[in-house]
Amino acid sequence: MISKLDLLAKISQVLPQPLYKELENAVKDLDDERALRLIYRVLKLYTTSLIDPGEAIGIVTAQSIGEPGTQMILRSFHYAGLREFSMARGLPRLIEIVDARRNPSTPLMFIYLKPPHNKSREAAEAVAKKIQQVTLEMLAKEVDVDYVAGAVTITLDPDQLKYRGLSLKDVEKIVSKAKGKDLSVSMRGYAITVSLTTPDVLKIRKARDKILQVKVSGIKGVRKVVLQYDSKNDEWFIVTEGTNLEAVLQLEEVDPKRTYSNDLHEVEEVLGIEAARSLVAQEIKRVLDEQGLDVDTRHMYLVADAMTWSGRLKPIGRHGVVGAKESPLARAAFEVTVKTLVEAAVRGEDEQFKGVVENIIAGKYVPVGTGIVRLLMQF
Amino acid sequence: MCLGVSRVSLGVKEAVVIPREEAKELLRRLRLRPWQLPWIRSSDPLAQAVGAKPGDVLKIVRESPTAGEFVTYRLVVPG
Repeated sequence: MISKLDLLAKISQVLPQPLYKELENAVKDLDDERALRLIYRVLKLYTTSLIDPGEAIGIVTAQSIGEPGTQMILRSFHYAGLREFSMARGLPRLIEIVDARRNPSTPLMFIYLKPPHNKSREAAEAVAKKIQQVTLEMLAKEVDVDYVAGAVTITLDPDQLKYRGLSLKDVEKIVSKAKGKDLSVSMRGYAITVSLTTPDVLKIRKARDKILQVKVSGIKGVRKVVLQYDSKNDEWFIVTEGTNLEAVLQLEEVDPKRTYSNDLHEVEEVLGIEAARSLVAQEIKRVLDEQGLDVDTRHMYLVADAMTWSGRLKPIGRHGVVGAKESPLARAAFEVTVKTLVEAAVRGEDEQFKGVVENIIAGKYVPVGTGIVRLLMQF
Repeated sequence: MCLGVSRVSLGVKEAVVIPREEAKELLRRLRLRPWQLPWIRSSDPLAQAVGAKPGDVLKIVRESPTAGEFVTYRLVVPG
């Protein structure tokens, strides 16, 4: 009889790592006979639960995500609990993900820091201050518009300056650069005056709005910054509203391995298609988990794979995954039938009858399950 | 060639360009034509970080919740 250790060594490549480790642990205290029985049982269960060739996994995935999806809330809330953050959730967010929308309704960035910056609130706050975009508007105590003279006077708030860790000089530097074509900017003490060379009521309004949005410090696009504590890993991390992953990753204090944003396209551009693939699955999982729905992660990874195998992020639908199908009939069966068929005809496309949909239309066997097997008769 | 640290992220543990011979052997083992592998564009940050050229096969080690580590391959395509 083979010993349990020999058998374990033999199957180390057969079972996936986590399962193997668990089995190894379970077997440790058993005698050979019982251990072997257990190992054989695990092996049998594992191999019989593997997906067979020809299994219609796409349909299984569609149903596994679709059915719990019917129970999801349709509303996206703004919730006051988590410190003034709103986050798209539930069905709207799920749709956003599978459609690979270019501008998510609530772009968030999760910034993890390298030690020692993540160990204390103060250290993390120092980084957060560097990241948050500070505009003149946020520093202003008073904004006066003189329509007659065509001038805007912004009075800065010393307390705000101090809180943001900025000095008058920093502001002066930025302001002096912000000169426009037909306006002049001057600064005296805490007062910034912008005056137009030719007074114009409409123009002065525009000039005011523009000057207030001038970025004084921080990273462009990061509107709100919130510190959060992760008790599991005993560390502080930063959540931001508004994303600019590329700029944040340049910062020395930021841990580039874990920092990410929930904007799929941004992640694809900055971190690559592989990262986008994990993000798709991770975001779908988050949405479903939040609603208390339990769906196996493998289904989400299948969706993610379908969306990213071609090297770019494709939405599920007419313009993406379905639109990329080879068969004109399969495409026509999905949406805008007539247009799809006409276009296929104009292009002179062939129907190969290799997929599922077109074979159902034609009333032939679908290449799924036993239908995927081809037999040759030998006389 | 090792992966530029800045591009190890979000479930990607490691990425390398595998030598031509190894790629051929892999495709023979899996009975695949090269284009049947998932693709990655040569302009992709990950491909850029390891200096992959179109036609190369990229070996990517992923973090997987079910399999611990999972090795996958992507064909580098122009773009």
